[in-house]
Amino acid sequence: MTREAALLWGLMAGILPVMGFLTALLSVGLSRLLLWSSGTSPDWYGRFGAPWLEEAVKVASLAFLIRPERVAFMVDAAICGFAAGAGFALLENLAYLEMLPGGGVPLFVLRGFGTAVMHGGATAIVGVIAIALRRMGRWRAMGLGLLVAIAIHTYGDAAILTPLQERLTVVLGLPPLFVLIFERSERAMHNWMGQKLNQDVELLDMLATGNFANTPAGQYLRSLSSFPPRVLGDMVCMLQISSELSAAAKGDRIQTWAGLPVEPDAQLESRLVELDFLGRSIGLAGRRALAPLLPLTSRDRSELRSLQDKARP
Amino acid sequence: MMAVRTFLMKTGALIALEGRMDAASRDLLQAAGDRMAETGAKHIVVDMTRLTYISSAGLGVLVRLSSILGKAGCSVSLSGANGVLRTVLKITKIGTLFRIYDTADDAMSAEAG
Repeated sequence: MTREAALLWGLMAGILPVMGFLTALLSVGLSRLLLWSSGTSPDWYGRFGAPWLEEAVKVASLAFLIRPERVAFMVDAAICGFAAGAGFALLENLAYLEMLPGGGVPLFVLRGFGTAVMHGGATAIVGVIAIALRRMGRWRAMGLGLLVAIAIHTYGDAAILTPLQERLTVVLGLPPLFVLIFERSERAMHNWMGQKLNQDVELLDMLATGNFANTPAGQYLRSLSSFPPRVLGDMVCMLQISSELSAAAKGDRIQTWAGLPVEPDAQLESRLVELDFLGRSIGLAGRRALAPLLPLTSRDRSELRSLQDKARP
Repeated sequence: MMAVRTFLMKTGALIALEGRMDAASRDLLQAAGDRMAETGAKHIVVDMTRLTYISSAGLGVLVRLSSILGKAGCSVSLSGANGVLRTVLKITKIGTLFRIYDTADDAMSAEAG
């Protein structure tokens, strides 16, 4: 089973739909409270108010699920988002079944399928944006994703098109978008594995042979002479541990692809603790100055964590 | 993790470090240094041949050890620092505070002489 398939089945069948379901319960309760307290017309609220509340509660649950150290790739975030959104749609459709009797099974199926894709797709997009734009900060990226999700949801609920046209747009428009995201994620994975692994190994080799000072990276570090020597030393240490962990993450991934079991790394925790110590030691300015050289990304960290979690007995 | 082995010789004491000296394992070196100081050795060699990592936490212990032992008339030198350790010692300028030798044998014979 491929990595994506294993994740898909694990998450789709596991906690995410349940969480989506619970999120929908919360959303229904809050919606009723809002309608009761504000006196807004249910029709207006359903079209323009509900998307804000529903997307906000879905994103809140997604923010918990796609913590940076747990999810590294856009495709994983999309799967998490889709499963959570689809779980949400399940309860919503059950509520509609109770509120809008009649119309027959075909209408219920068409509506249910459309809302599942819309809710799943909108939340998946938030996850994708959160990972793709993580450099701008997790919460900012999530906020931007939330606005996009609200726009999609509002479009779905605003009755601009006929219900059939609107469902067709969502059902036909979102899948190609996700194919594009999956392909891009796959390319990012190959780039991470190939090019970045070579860079990690080169850096480790330069550090091990004592030639680091003569490399462009070493010269860059020397140019940071405004930092105390102790901080410069810890920057070298940070580069060493970062490149070791970064290379280890890729090694674990290669083993998994080859169908081999990943050996638990007894030193992983202590290295991560040391990395935190070094981060504090060099301070914010040091971390910013070192950032262009640091090989360990949040993607490496999450890959390591997830593979090592699985490797533990 | 770091392993520390200590040897008492006629010419002084040897502390051989192996593995990684990180913030969590620095106390091991401090304890070994204290033990060797109690023996009355006039010179201690800290051998780093099998050490693969040292950060400011470990360097701090080395400097403190050298300072405390120096007041008691005991000198500390380093040996076997290669690769990244040499880079760290150089870039932190800690290397200038110690006499550094290629091997523990070189250090022992030079300091005894």
